[in-house]
Amino acid sequence: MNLYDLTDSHATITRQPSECPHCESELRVSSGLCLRCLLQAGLTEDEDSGSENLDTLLSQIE
Amino acid sequence: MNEWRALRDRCTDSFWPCLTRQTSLESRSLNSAAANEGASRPGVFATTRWSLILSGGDSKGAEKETHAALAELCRIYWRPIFAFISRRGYSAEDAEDLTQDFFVMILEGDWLQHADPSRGRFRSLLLKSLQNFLNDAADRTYARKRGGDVSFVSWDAWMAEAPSQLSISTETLNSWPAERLFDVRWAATVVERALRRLREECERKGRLRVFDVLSAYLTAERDDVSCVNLAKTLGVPQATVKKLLYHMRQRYRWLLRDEVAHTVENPADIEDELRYLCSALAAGSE
Repeated sequence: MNLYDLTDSHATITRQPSECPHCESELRVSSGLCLRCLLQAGLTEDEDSGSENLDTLLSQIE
Repeated sequence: MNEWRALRDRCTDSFWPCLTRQTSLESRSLNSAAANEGASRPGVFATTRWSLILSGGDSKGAEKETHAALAELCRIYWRPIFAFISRRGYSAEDAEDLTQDFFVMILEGDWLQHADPSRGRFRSLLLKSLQNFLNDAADRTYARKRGGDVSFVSWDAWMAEAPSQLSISTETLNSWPAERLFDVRWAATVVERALRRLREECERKGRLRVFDVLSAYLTAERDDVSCVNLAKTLGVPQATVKKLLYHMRQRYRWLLRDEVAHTVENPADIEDELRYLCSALAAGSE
């Protein structure tokens, strides 16, 4: 099987992956962000309240 | 193939986005609809696609809605399916065909009844069904003639609609079993959809630049963030950078959990699903 033909359907193939300094995973998504850390972020204990706060803040920027 | 045509004819375009050649505009509007879900319901995950599907449809309208939800989930999670099939040794072309045939089977209507009485999460049920489907497919020679009157999935359109930037090392790709790649692809889909929705929210406010600059720090440790430099880059006070980063992280977390919520039956399962996906990606076993 030639995995390199699969391009975006599968993933971007990197020959020199870099480890995440926090979790050591080599899987990255956009902007080089660590996939595992981004998933882990969903498990953090934060109180969240929808989009209002961010929306308001974005509106206030001049 | 007549089966494809018949199925397509039975369904409206909104039911069957994977078989109709969507324009990018239509795709964007689907994404926007998804992006707006829950935005006005702080802290509450609405009835999700999977819970809607599991509830079944006892009226014609409900059945239609259920089928649309299932079609939408298939559209979102085509990459894990394709990755799994490819890893099983099929050529890219055959993997595309098998992915489409799998969707036909799923969307024909009685998949849920035959899948597993105890049901479960969408991800695990889909994987189990996919394994069974491929076992059956292996029993026959798979040689479909492409073209003709068959409406194939427009792979380019799907990729353009929601391009993925997952990068994976050659070693990992060659060494991981299909099940692991399926989970990784699934995790990447969930995360990338949450990021995309966050980006769209910033863009709607005319603040795409804020997302472009700050999204790189969504998971950064506090010490790794230079608010001085970011403030200069964005032209806002440092205090604003701190607030923006805090609320962007909060919002991202909410969007991520909302994406997961659509694939589990109960909100209580979100944590477990996230933990499962995290463990599937655990560095120690890469």
